[in-house]
Amino acid sequence: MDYLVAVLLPQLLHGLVFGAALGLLALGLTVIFGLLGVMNFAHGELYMLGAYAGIAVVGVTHSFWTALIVAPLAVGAIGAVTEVTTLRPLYRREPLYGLILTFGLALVFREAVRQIWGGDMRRILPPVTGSTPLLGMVYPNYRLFLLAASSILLLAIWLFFTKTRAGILVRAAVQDAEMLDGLGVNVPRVFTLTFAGSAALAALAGLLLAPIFTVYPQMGVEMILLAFIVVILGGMGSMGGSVVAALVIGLAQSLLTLWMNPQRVAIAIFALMIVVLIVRPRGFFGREGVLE
Amino acid sequence: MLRMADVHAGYGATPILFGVSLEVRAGEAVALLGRNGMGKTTLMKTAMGFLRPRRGTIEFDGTDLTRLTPHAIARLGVGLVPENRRIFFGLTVRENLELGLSAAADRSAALRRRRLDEVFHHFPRLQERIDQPGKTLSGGEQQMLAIARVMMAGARLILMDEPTQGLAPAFIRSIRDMISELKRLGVTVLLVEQNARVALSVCDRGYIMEKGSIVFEASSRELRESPVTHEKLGV
Repeated sequence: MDYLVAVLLPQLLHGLVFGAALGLLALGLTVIFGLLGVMNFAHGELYMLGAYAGIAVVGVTHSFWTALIVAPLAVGAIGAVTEVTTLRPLYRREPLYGLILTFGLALVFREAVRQIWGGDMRRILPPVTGSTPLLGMVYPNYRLFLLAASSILLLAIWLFFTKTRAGILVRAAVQDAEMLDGLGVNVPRVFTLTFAGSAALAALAGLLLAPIFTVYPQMGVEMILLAFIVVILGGMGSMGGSVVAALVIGLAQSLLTLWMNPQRVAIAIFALMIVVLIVRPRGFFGREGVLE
Repeated sequence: MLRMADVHAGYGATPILFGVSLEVRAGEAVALLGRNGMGKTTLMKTAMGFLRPRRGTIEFDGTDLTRLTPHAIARLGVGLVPENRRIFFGLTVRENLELGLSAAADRSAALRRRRLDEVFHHFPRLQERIDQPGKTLSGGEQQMLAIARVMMAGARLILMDEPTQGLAPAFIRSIRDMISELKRLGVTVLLVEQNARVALSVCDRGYIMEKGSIVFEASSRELRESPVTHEKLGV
C-alpha cells in the first residue's frame, strides 16, 4: 500500500502528465503527415524553439503566462514562413524531398539557437509552485497544471476538428486536397495555416514541459523520436490514435523507469513498438493505404 | 461559355492531350465520348486546373483559365463531378454539402438554407442520410452527393466525369434525369461518358476523342446514327 501511494501513483501521474504533453507534439506531427505526406523532422526543433522563445519572452516580460501566448504565436509564424518558402515548392515531388528538407531545417534551427543562446542547459522556473495533497500523496502543483492544460488543449483540438469549418477543411484536405481545391477552397492556405498551427502546438508543448525538463539545443531530438514512435503506434495519420499512443508511451516510459535505467527504458519502448507493429502492422488506428 | 483551343497537356513527361479544341455554349449539354485511355478525364482535369496545359488556351466566359488555381476556377462557377465521385468519406453528408458551398461568393446562412432545400428537393435520399458519414453511402448515393456538392456551389458549368460508372440501372436513370433537370435549370454540362446511349439521350451534341485529340463532332442525333460512332466507340 505504501509502495502504491509513495512510488507507483506519482509515477502513474507523471506518465499521464508527460503523455498528454507528448500527445500535443504527436498530434501536430500526424496531422502534417496526413496532410502533406511529409514526416516533419523539424518538428522537434519547433518544440525546442518554443522553449527558447519562452526564455526570451520571460527575459523581457518576467511573465511565464505572457510567454505561453507569445512563444507559440512566434513559432507559428516561423512555421508559416518555413512552409511557404521551403516546403511549398516540393509538394509536387516525391515525399523524400520533403523529408530531406525538414531534416535540414532541423539542423538549421538547432544551430541558429546555439548561435543565439549558446549550447548550455537552461531552466525556466515553474510559474506555479508548491504541492497539493492528492490521494494520500503530495503532488507538485505545476504538474497538475500541466495535466489540466494539456487535457484542455487536447479537448479543444478535438472540438476544432469536429465542430469548426476550419477543422473540417483540414480533415477534407487530408483525404483529397486536390478535390477540395476544386470545390473552391484555397488549399495552399489550408496547408500553411495547418503547418503554422502544428508548429505553434509543438512550441506550446516545449514551453509547457520546460519547467520540468531542461532547455538545450538538442532537447527536440529526444522528444521527436518518442513522437515518431507515438505516431507510428497510433497509426500514421490517425489523430485519435496519436493521443492514445502518447498516453500509452507516457505511462510506459514513466512506469518502466521504476525498474530500469533510462537506456533500457528507451530499448523497452522500441520493443513495445515492435510488438505492437507485429500484431497490428498499421498501429492502433491506422487506416488502410496510408503507407502501402 | 467554355472554349478550349489547341490544348496540350499530360502528366510529367507523358503527353496525353494533343491539341484539343472544343466549345460548350451556355445552356448546352455536350457529350465527350471515347474509349478508355483516350484522354477524356485528363481533359476534364485540365479544364478544372488540376493540370496545367503546356500549350493552348482555355476560356470560361472570356476569362483565361490556364494560369488559374482550381479554387479560383471553381469560384468563377465551374463545378467538377469527378471520376470516382471523390466525396469525403470521413465527413457527414451535411459537411460534404457545406464544402460545396466554398466556391459560392456569399456563404450566408440564408443561401446555405436555400441551396440545401434545392438539393434535398432533387435528392431526398441525401436528406435522409444528412448526418451519416460519406463512407456509409451506396455508390449511387455518393454520385448524388457529388452532383449535389456542385449544385451547392451554384456552378454554372458542370464538368461531369463518368457519373453512371458502376451504377445500377435505376440509378443510371435518375442520374440521366438529373442531367436533364440541370439543363432545364439553365446549367451548362460537359459530360464524359462510357455509356454513349445514356450520354446522347440527354446531350444536344457530342465530340468523340481518340488518342488525345477530337476526331469527330456532331449533333446527338447524327452521332446516334453515324457509322463513325460505332467504329470509334464499338457500340
